[in-house]
Amino acid sequence: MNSPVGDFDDGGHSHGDDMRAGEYVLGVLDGFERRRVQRRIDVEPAFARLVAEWERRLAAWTLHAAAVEPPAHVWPGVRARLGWSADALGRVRAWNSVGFWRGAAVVALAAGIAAFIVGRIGTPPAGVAPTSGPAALGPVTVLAADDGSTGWLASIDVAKGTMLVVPVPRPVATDGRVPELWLIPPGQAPRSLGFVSNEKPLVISVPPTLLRQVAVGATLAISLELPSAMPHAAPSGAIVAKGGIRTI
Amino acid sequence: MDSTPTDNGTDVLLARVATRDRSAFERLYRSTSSTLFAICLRVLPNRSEAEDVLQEVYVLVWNKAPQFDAGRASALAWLASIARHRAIDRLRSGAAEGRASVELPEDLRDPTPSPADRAEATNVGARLEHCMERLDERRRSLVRTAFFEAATYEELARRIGAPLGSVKSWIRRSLLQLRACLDP
Repeated sequence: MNSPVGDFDDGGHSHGDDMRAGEYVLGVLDGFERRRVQRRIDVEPAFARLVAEWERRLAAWTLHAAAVEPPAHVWPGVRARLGWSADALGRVRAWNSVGFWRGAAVVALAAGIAAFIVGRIGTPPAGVAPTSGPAALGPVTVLAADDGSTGWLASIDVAKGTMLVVPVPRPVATDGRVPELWLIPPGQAPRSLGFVSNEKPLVISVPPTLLRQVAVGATLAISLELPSAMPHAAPSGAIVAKGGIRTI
Repeated sequence: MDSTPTDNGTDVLLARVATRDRSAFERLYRSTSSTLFAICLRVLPNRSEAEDVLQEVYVLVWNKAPQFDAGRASALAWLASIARHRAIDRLRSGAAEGRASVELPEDLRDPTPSPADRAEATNVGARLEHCMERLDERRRSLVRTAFFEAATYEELARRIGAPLGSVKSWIRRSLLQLRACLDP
């Protein structure tokens, strides 16, 4: 089976170009050869088309990977690399956009928040259950700032080990820092639950080792921290909002 | 939240990202980052390196979104190939030592889970497998190893103890056969 391969060994003509494109997509080229191919993709549309054809042929393999959720600090890192401040998204525009609210669960929690805000007059600020929507949503824990204004709302789903954290929009001078959520069990040091958004509702997963500590009597707090090395071992910035878990 | 990205939804989001819509970009990230992270991790078992490459990938996606040609590939496939190539570039640039061996999927005809929006990809996968079946068995495993471990010709030759020229010839012949079988 030692057939001559010279007919496509030469990178000079189109047959060789097609092989080169295939080798590039398969992943067998070394770093030097890859850089040469990439330069050609940039400047030779015909060659770029050959590469695209091979990408299409092998796309099923490229996409064949079981999803793995990246850690929370990756997204703030992307924003930082793009030179976007943590607060640059246009909070008001985002908040007002219907598309911003993803999924029925979020809408249902919004109903719960509305019920909370309405019901707050004359009602002790304890947890409150949503009045409509899927029954899956648990009571809401309010994370308030020192001046009493509501900063975030958290709804814990113990069964799923997740927490829906919804920011209430208001101007926050973040100074390149991002909100980090902390669980403070009674009499213990804060444990990080990772990044939460100050712009949009986010479902975070609670590590199984911490799930049992998410209980009545524990405190949820948010501090502003640098996006790198999230989650941190301990908070370094001031607490901007906190609230006790009254009901689960 | 962590729903599988649908090709169609990803296309719409990417088109909006091309118009410099930052909130669409954040949604694109939320809906595709777990897929792209898995692709990076498959090539780079070092998690912190994979995280770093993933950030690089999304910066590239933001910058290159206006150049995306929907006639050539689905948005998801385009994102996936950017992730894979940046991960391979990183692998080539650094010491590839300590690489754990990668499990090689033997057959893609029944991937789990198989949501409806991946149906087309599954069909494409079935066709690729069908064409792989027609290769000589040893070449089949060579091609798989090349792809799923992103191994260079030199690494492949060293691993199977065959001359470099033979490995190149087998791979190229396999690519020709695959192309002939896959292209209608």
